[in-house]
Amino acid sequence: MERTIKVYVQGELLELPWNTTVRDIHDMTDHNRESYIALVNGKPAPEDRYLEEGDVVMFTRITYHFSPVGGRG
Amino acid sequence: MRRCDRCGREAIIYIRNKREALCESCLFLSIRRRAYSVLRRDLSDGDFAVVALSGGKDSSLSLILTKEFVEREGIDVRVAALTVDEGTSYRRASIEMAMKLTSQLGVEHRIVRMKEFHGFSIEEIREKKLPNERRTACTYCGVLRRQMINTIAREWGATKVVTGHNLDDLVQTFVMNLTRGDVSALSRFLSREPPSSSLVQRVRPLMYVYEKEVAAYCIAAGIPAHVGKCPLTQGMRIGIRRALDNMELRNPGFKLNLLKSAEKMISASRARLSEGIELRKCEICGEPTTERVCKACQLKAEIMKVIER
Repeated sequence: MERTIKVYVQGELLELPWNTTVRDIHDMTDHNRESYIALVNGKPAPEDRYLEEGDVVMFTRITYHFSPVGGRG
Repeated sequence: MRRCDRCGREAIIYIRNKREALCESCLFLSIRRRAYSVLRRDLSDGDFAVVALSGGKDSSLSLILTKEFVEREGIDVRVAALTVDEGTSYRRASIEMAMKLTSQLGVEHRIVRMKEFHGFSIEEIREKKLPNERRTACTYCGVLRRQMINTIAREWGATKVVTGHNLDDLVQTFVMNLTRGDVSALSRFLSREPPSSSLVQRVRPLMYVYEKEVAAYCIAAGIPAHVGKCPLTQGMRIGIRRALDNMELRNPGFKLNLLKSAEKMISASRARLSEGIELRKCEICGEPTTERVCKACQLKAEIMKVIER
C-alpha cells in the first residue's frame, strides 16, 4: 500500500502521497506558481519542497497595489 | 525541509530559471547585488533621492535598499520618502505601513493627498461613476499619481525619484506599450536621461528582481509592507500579467530575457523611435507633454465635468 501523509491545504485536511511537493499543491488547487506564494506553516516555501505530515499550506497572492507604471515605464 | 542550495539553511524560494533554492539570507544577498548594481549606476554624490513609497512590498524594499546602499557606500545622497494618498479606503492601511517603515528607518517622509493636489480623490471619482467608460480607475489613478510624484519631488529639490518597479512591472509595461503601438512611450522606456529637465530621473533598484522574489523576501523578513490587492485594479495589465506568468511557468527566465531584449532593442533604436516626437509644455499646467494638453489635464477635465454635474 502506498505511504501517505495528511496535510492541511487552505484549511482542508487532505491525505496525499508521501512524495507530494508544494508544486503539486499549486497545480492541484490551480494556484499559478507565478501569481501565488505557498506558505507552509506560515513561512514561504520553495515549490520543490516535499510536504511532511501535519504541514499547513496556505496561498498568498503576490499582490499588486495598483497599475504600477501606467504604460510609461 | 528543503535546504538552501548555497548555505544549507531552510529555503524559502525556488528560483526556477537558476534551478536553485535559496534561504532568506541568500535571497536577500541576491536581491541586494542586483539592486546595488542599479543604484551604483544611477546615484551619485550630491543627489537628493526621493523614494515614491506606497507602503506596499516593492516600494518598501526599494526604500530599505536605497537607504542601506547610501550608508554602506558612504556616498553623499540625501534619502527621503514621498507617499501619495489617493483617498481610497484601501490606502489607509498601506499609508500606516509606510509611516511605520520610515519611522523605523529614520527617513524624512511626506504624505500628500490627491484631494489637496488635484481637488478630488479616486474614491470620489469612483462614487460618481467613471467619466469615460472606456477608461479604468487605474488610468486616472496612475496618470494623476505619476504627475503628483514628479511635480512634488521636483519642487522638493529631488534629483532622482526612486520607485519600486520590479521586473514583472516593467515587462508588463513594455508589452502594453508594444500592444498599443505607443512609440512615444517605447522611446522613453527605461531611458536613464529624462527627456525634459522638468522630469526627475527615475531609479528602479528592483528592475532585475522578480516580483515573487520581493514578495517572498518581505513575508519571510517581516518587513512592514501592506499586503492586499487594490479593489479598483482592472484593465489590460491584468490580462498581460496572466499571459506573462504563464509564459514564465513554461519557459523559466522568459520575463528576464524579454526585459533584456527590450533594453537592447530600445537603446539601439531610441533615436529613431523618438524621431518627430517633441516634448513641449502643457498649455494648462506647464508640465512636459507630447500633446498640446498633457494627459493629466485631459483626465482632470473629464473628472471635473462629472464632479460639477
